[in-house]
Amino acid sequence: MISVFHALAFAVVAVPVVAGGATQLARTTHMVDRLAAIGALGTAGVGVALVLITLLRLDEPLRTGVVTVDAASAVFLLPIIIVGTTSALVSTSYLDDSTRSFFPAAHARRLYYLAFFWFWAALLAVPIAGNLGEAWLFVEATTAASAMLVAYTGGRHALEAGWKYLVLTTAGLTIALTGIVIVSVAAPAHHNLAGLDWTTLAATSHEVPHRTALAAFVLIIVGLAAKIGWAPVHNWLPDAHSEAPPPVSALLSAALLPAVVLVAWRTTRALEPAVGNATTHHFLIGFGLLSLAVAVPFLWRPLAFKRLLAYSSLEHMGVIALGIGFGSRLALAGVVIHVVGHALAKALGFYAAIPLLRLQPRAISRPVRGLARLDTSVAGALAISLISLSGLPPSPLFFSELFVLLGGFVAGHTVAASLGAALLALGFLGLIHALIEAMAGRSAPRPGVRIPARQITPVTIVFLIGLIALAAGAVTIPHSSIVEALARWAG
Amino acid sequence: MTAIAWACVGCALAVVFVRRRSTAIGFVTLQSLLLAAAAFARAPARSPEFLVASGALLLKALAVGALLVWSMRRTREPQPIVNDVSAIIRLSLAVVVALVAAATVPGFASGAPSAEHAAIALVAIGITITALRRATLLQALGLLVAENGVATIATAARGGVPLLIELGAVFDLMIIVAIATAFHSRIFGEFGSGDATALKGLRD
Repeated sequence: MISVFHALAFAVVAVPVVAGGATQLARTTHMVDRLAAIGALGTAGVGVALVLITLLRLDEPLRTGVVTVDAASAVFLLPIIIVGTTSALVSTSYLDDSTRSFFPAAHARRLYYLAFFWFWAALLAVPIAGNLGEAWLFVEATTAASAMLVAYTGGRHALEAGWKYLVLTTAGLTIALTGIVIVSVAAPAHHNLAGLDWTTLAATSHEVPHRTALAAFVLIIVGLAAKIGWAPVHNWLPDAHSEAPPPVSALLSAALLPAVVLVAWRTTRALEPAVGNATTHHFLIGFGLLSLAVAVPFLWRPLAFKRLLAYSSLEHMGVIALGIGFGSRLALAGVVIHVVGHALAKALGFYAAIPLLRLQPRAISRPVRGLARLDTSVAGALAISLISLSGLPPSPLFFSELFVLLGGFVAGHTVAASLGAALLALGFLGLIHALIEAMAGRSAPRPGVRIPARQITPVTIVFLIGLIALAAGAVTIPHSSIVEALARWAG
Repeated sequence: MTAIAWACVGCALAVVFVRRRSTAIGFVTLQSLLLAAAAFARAPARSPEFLVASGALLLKALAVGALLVWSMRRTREPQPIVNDVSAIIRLSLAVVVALVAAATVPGFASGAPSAEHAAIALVAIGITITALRRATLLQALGLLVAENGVATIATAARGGVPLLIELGAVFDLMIIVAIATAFHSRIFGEFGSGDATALKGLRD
């Protein structure tokens, strides 16, 4: 059984790497798309099998130093698999309409898929990385693979967004690497790679002097925060999310950000013995509240749809930071629901942007208006996304935010939980206002424009079923074995 | 090692104030070569893994230097990119940031306390270069300077750093620099200059 576990953990990264390479061999557009679809479904199959085995063996997680597949891996892998697969499949629809590219025109489609699959492979590797050094390498690899995807259209704004993303996240990750090297150098137990595996690090980090450990912890978390997009180091996030092709935006928001949050969480857990439980928790709560406070005013502004979704990502990464910082069992249950629910809702919003931009090209830079009168299928997808993201009951994000906040009160963080509740209420009102304007606001008529629903209707149905299922099962999650396993691991 | 580490800091400070991109690339390449030389000098007393890491540092210095020179020659600026912030203010800011960073981060028992301070100063100066310089190639050089700071710790430390991290970081950095030069070329093609101040169209 262990060997199957190992094989799946290896294959979940290897299959998309091979799939990306295979798309380079195709001679026709049709063949490229077909190979990409096969690669996506193959990756999904392996990924789902890995998650299922992990869930069946919660008491015996795979921890080898090179690979760690535990309850937290399963929670964070699931959205990467779902969103990665769907993004690969809907990319065809986006690429059919794209007219210019960062890449040479003759190879643009193939190079898109190469970068996409390698980005996805790096993302899948992050939650199962067995040690701190390896996790950093995979996070850095996501930057290398995705920067050109962010700038895919090759336009001025896309180049600006891609450059900011490349420079700011690399600078952040260099700061994080400084912290990792300090941890590695500061204790004899950490001089080799095995010393940096999550379990060994948690057991030996107390050997690092407190002040040194604190400095390393701050450097690592602040550096990772630049990649997660936690305020105040979030500057690249709205630009990259709004300028990237929508399937890539979905992967950035719903998969990349939470995956790096998991690295921050594992680091926090591993360095807690040296830094102190209260310090690490307060640090994460601080990032959570600051991200909410920075995001909320933007949710009230009339923004272009994809920028609105980007600021919503900032808000939701703040909620996850709060849940991890509060650390109670109820808050952790909220984190589990939030990671999956946010991924489904946010990805659906970005997928809706593909037909939306055909329907209202001005939506690339202006707020959406009067969509309900123009196209019901696109309006439906967008409405489901915004309703879910706002946390309106019975959205699963209503339950997750409730659990995180109640978990904060249970853990004794009354002030932080109260502030979080107030900010979330304001964010809710902002998103609902944006939803009403998007559906019923006055828009310039565009007679004769008819956009075929194509992929958005089946995607909406599948994601809606996922959101309903998550909401229906939400009340059972605090008592589930996965939260039990997470609570055991998170101490 | 201590002398080389501080020589690297000197090179980094030069990148803060020099005007020509070619001079800045020269200083960063010299910095990378100095680090590689220091690593090779320490290799006999270290493990075989350390020798491999030293080779990787040398490869990085040569490959990245060549790539940057190639990119610079393909994108000749019609006129020099002049910073809004004068060279002396940039230099003063970089020195202050470096001093504060070196004083804030406590020692971490690497066995070379002075090199530790120099390494932290390099990371801080690298980030400052990225923040203050306007030319996109110089911003990329800032990332290289910061990464050289990390390499300084790894080279100076008594126990060393796991080989996988060293090699992975070097490999990742080379890819990032290659992508950065691709971006620089596209930005130059689109805007007619590699001036990052042109990249301010996205605001809320």
